[in-house]
Amino acid sequence: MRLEAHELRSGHGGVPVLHGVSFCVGGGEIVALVGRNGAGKTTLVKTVVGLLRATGGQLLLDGEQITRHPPSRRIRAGLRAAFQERPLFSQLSVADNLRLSGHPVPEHVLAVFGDSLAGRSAQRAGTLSGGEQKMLAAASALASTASILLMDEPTEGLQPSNVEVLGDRLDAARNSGRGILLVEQHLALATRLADRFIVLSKGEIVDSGSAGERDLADRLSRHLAI
Amino acid sequence: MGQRRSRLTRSSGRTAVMLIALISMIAAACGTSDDDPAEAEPASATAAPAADDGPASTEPATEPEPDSAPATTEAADAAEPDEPAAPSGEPVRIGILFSNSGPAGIFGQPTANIAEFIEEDINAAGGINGRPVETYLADDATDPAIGRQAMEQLIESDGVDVVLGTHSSATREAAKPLAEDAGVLYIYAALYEGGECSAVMFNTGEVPSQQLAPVIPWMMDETGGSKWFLLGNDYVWPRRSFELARQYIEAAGGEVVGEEYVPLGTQDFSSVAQQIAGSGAELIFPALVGGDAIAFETQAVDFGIGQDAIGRLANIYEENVLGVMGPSVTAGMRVTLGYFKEVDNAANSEFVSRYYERFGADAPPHMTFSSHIYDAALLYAAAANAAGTTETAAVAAALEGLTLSTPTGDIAITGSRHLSQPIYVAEIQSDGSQLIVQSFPSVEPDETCTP
Amino acid sequence: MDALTLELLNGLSTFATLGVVALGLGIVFGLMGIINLAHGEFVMIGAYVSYVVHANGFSHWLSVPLAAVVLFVLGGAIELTLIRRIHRQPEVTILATFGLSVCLRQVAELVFTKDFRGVPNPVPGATRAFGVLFPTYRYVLIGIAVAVVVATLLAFTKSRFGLTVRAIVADRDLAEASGIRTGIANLCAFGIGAATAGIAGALVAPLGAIEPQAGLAYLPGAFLVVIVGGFNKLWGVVVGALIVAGVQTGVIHFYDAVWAQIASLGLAVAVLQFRRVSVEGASA
Repeated sequence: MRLEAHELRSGHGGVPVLHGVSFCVGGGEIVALVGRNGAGKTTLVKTVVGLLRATGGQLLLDGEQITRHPPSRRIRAGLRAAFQERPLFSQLSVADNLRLSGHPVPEHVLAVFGDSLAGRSAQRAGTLSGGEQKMLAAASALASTASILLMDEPTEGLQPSNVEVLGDRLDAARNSGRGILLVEQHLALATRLADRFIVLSKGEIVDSGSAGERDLADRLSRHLAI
Repeated sequence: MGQRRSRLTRSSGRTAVMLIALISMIAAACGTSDDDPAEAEPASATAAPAADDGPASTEPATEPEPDSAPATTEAADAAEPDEPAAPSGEPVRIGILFSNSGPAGIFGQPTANIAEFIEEDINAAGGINGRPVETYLADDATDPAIGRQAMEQLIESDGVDVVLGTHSSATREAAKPLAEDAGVLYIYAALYEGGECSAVMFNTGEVPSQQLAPVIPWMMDETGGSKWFLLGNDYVWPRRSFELARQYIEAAGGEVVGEEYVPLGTQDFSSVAQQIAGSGAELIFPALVGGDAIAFETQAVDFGIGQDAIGRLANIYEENVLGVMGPSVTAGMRVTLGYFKEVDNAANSEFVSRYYERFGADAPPHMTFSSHIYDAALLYAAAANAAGTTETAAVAAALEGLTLSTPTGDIAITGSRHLSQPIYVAEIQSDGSQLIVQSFPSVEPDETCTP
Repeated sequence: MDALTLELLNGLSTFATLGVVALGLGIVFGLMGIINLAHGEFVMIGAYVSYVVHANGFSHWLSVPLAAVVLFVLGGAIELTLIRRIHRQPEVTILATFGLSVCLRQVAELVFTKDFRGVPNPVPGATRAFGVLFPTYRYVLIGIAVAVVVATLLAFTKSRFGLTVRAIVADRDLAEASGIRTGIANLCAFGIGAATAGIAGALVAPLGAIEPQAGLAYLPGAFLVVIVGGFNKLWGVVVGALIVAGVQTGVIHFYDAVWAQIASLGLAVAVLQFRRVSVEGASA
């Protein structure tokens, strides 16, 4: 499955944020989307999922127009996102959160990250730590059947050991043929995993490249430097 | 949070505005199917929307049949030849302020129907000082604020010479100052708590002293009961009625074992019903209106305090309300009012059959409110003819002491600007019909007024 | 002792009536953040359904499920054509549902006229239980109302549908991004809210007058229950109805019905002061 964005425009309350962004994510690849705070990364994820309406451009999933589809229809078509902020229904229990994501056996999902979440399915999701919530959201997305995953800063707040686990899981997902858009502010995981890079700045793609390019690390550091 | 909200404002702001406009238009369209509350129109336009079968002529000058004038104006010296000449010239405008929507709107249609007869009958008898009459109806929507606007409409736009009112006391209080300022005669014809006194006003409806003074002792004689429970809606008319009822009950050797008030719109009478059941009451005087009356009576039966257990004397239960309760609930109840369509005299029989011929057998029943409006119009016509003018002070002077015989019976304006009138007691029969079991002719109101 | 038993039964029947009337209001407000000023008219229409059922010679009991179906369809249609477009703007929904309430009253008046209507009590008389005589129909009303409230609350808390609805309440965006069809869930929630109002209308029909204005009297009480019970939890409707019924029955017992009304309003003011709830309290 292949997600394509052509000249995508979007924004909040009439204020444009994305000024025509084009990219694609194919099956079996991890595309890292990097950029500073406020570059428009989360806006892009929300626009792709359909929570923000595209004010211009097109979104295609396997060549089919989804630009005007409601979020639920995009999800059924094979998209899935794990959000950076409020990734879970904090008032609902862990089990209910997973059930809503279509996982009948919550314990199976909880086991993705080893023991740290096991046995906590009755707990209210809001009582988990920020990192645990991110892990759960990521695990839930990974355990879904979606072909294209949009991971918005999944490592934020995670312990280093869990970042390792997450990396392995993402790698495995890629190897099973799924496409992943990995939004990251920090380069460590991205450089380890990504096949390609897109650099977003002030709502525009200012650079892109493949993992093999020699000066890539320098260019990325320069874009992300403060 | 911010994102979520912003996404909306952009797209749906416009839609919302359009939608509101649409909804208000729909609401307005729905609304106009009835009547714009503050809008007054000539009776011939609104009074008989349902009666397209009737020859509701808009031209008062071309009244067809002068045969139907049951009211004989004994009112003295109005220059009337035996064969009245067809009235001509600038019409005399009679405004009717009434409730055609809102909670009391249920009484509206009979009044609107009667407005047709008012025009016909007064014109057939030669009009007022040779001029034809036209009626103008204004709806207060059972709302004093709208009632005030409706009064303004009648006086300012329609230029009426007199306003006949059948509506709540609240509307009367709101509308009265306008009549006073404009010097327009205002005859309030609905039954009410009494006590009104104004230079431009006459009050021809039943007051509690009339409905109760003769009837309470009669009721105690008739039933042998002497312990009364008074249950009313919480406003001035029931409170005033109970104040007087208490006097008459005690004067007749009876006892009030309970007095309760419930807010208008009460739906659950369970607690009240139990209070009554535990009070030892032998008679109930329910001064409840509309839906409250229906709710109380239907619920009372199941609590074992129906009419079959404790007799009722009601002062407002009318046919529509009694009909919904059904004969199984109402049979045996007594109602005291100044008019029932069953009143037994030739003029009334003729009048009532004419009413149902004109407006259909299933027309809303002609009842005390519509009857008093009719009488008020005849009183006005007689007084204006006697005075030879429609000038307010002159007509008011002619009204005092005026006597008339109408389908209601013999009526007379008293020095207190109220109406001496017959009071009837009807008993509900097992088939739901009303049988007049007692009548008290020319009951004087216990009122004083020197404006 | 008997007097106390009777007052308890009275309180229970007040509680049941309030609960089933307020339930739909609570669902629609708590779950969708919509202040539905036409809720009383849904009750009124439910009562007219029972009148039509009676007028056509069918049993009163048929009118209870029939009112639910009729009002579900009507509520669904209203959600689709009206609420859907404005449901994220609370102040607009207030205006829109107010317009709707006026319109529904006028339509009822056109169809049924202003005349009072009534349906006879299907089980007249009283039943002796707990040492006292209490109207049979009120026992039935309490039973059906409690069953409807409990079943609805269970449906909303225990079922998959209930979970999706709770997810929408918790975070509409995340719910959409989880693949929940929020449109259908809203349609069902509004329809169910209307259906319970219809059931309420059919249940109270034999106890009073049916007329186009009849719904107006139910709205304040229902709002009181929702305010007292709290906006976010559906079980709050039960708690609210319990408190309001307790206060009303108690005050009527010791004072009278007029003071009971004043006490109820005082209760609402006090609770609102205490909670400082904004109009958007439920939707956030």
